[in-house]
Amino acid sequence: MSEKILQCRGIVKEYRKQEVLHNIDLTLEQGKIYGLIGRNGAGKTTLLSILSAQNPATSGDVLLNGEKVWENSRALEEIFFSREISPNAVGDSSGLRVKDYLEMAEAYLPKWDKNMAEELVELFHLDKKKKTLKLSKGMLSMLSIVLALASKAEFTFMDEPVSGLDVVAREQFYRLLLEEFTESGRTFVISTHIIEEAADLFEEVIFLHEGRILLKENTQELLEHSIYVSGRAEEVDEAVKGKEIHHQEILGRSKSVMVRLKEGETLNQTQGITLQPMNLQKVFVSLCAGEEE
Amino acid sequence: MKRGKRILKVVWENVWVGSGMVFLLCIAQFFRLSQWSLESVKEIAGSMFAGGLVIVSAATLMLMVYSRYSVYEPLKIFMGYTRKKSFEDMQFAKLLSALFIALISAAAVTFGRWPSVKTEDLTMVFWGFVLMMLVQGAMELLTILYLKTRKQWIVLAAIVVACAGIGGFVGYNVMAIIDAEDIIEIQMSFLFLQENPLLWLLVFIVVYHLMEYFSWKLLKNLEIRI
Amino acid sequence: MQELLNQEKSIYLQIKEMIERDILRDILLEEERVPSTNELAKLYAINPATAAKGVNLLVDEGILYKKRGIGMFVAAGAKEAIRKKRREHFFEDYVKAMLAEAANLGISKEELIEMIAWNQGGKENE
Repeated sequence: MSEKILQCRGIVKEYRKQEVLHNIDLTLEQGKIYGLIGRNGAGKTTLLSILSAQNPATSGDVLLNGEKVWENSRALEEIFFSREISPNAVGDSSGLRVKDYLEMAEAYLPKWDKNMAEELVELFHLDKKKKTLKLSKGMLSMLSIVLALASKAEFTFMDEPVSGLDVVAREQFYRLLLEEFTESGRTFVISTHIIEEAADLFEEVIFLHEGRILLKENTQELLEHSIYVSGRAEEVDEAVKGKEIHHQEILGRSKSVMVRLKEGETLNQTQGITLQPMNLQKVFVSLCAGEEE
Repeated sequence: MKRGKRILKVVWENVWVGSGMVFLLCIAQFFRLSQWSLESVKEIAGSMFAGGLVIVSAATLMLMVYSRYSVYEPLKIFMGYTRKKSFEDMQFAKLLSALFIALISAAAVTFGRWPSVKTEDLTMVFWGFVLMMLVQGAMELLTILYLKTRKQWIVLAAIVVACAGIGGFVGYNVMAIIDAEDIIEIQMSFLFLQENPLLWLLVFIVVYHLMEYFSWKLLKNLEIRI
Repeated sequence: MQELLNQEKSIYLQIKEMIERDILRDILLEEERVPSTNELAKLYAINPATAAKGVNLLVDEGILYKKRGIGMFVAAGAKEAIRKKRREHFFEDYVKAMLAEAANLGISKEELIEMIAWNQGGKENE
């Protein structure tokens, strides 16, 4: 089985003279679940739409195994971006029913798994005859999820798939995703706000901040190398001297800071400081705050 | 369903909607006139049906093009279809729809004027075909423009015109039936066309291709949002 | 198994330790099959690669071994090996921190020894 790689090089996207994505280079390997994490307006949806040829980049290329993806049927068979279905979109698509989407999917998504789609529709209690404009936000999310999972596309992207879902439905989704992943080994890129819940699912995380990639790393490694150091300011400074730090906070005589260690690096020996592991959400917030300083 | 079949499905829908509507009107007219003769049928077929079909279809085809480009084609592209194939599908759909309707109209005219079919009558059908192509082309361009700019008014205006066209014809005929007026002779007497047919044809061909050119230019790099 | 994951430690280490604990508690016996990485992933709602990392550490240490086409099994002597390893790390893992905290609070070594002997609190109880 040859390894498929979806890559983008030098992607820049401008909207009305405003650059929204700045020179993005990204390599996505087959068989991983990636988390695309970023604030509102960071450019997550834009990036995903460009990777899936729904949106043309202002400059740069998207390549699947070295072949350009844009307007390339063969490449597009392997990629599917199941974005949020908005009933307020262009035209009268609000008049479409759930089953219309399913029928179109069957006709145009080459690897569409009809049985899986039927099972999921039942599981989610989606009324096939209902028009999308009559569906709740949660139901619309579920429809996107059905399309994503049943598409069986090698590279499947989901944009905030759990928005609108209550906590039980979210957990249900995570389990379905994992089940599909373990069975098929498809690549998933999930963009999300609700970082902590999904953190354990992501093999790698990509932090997108204001149109730039802050990092792309193995989740476990990132977390292992991120430490929250706190204590007396002088001691903290001593411990973190020479290391990469982010988001210092000072309160009276105490100070806290996030440290990102490199492979093999350790903190300088000091007494009286507290070291705590950080969760993914905290790492993200600290790095973003750091960017804005 | 293979690609060809899908296109034909669209064409079929385009054809029978217009034909059905006009056909019903003609049936009503026939009964209203109460002249149960072959002559009467031929009369209605030759002018009202043939002409009405073209006018009404021009409007319904415009609506169909709008509906395809605003809803279905984006959805196809969303699911991995290329913009090129989508555009090509639509070219076939437009051409075949106009062609079939023109052929039905021509058949009606032939039947209506049998055995003395004049070339003028068939020429009228030809111009009808040209009309249908032009309005479809215009709607295609407008709808794609709408997809790009998301300005509602563009398409609203065009839809209003299309509906006015259908509505006007249908309404006028219904009124006619109620007022017991005579058969509507759709003359489509655009005399200026008669004067310089080749020149006009050339103009229309150029205009059509310009519309296609811009339509594709806009579509080929269009951002799709469903 | 069946414990909840927390944020204190890397997930894959927690998986590893959970399996070790289960071996020590005779929940998993030697030469018995251990859940596959996919099963573990689904059970804990984590990425299979993470589960695999934890399992592979155990394979490297000789606690588990792989039977091709069947799955992961607890190696013979695993229980003893785990105990031995944990004894070696006991000082590092538990005692060192205790001594540091005791020093912070000014508790002497003698007091500590008393606490251990009597298995109860400190001065307050005298």
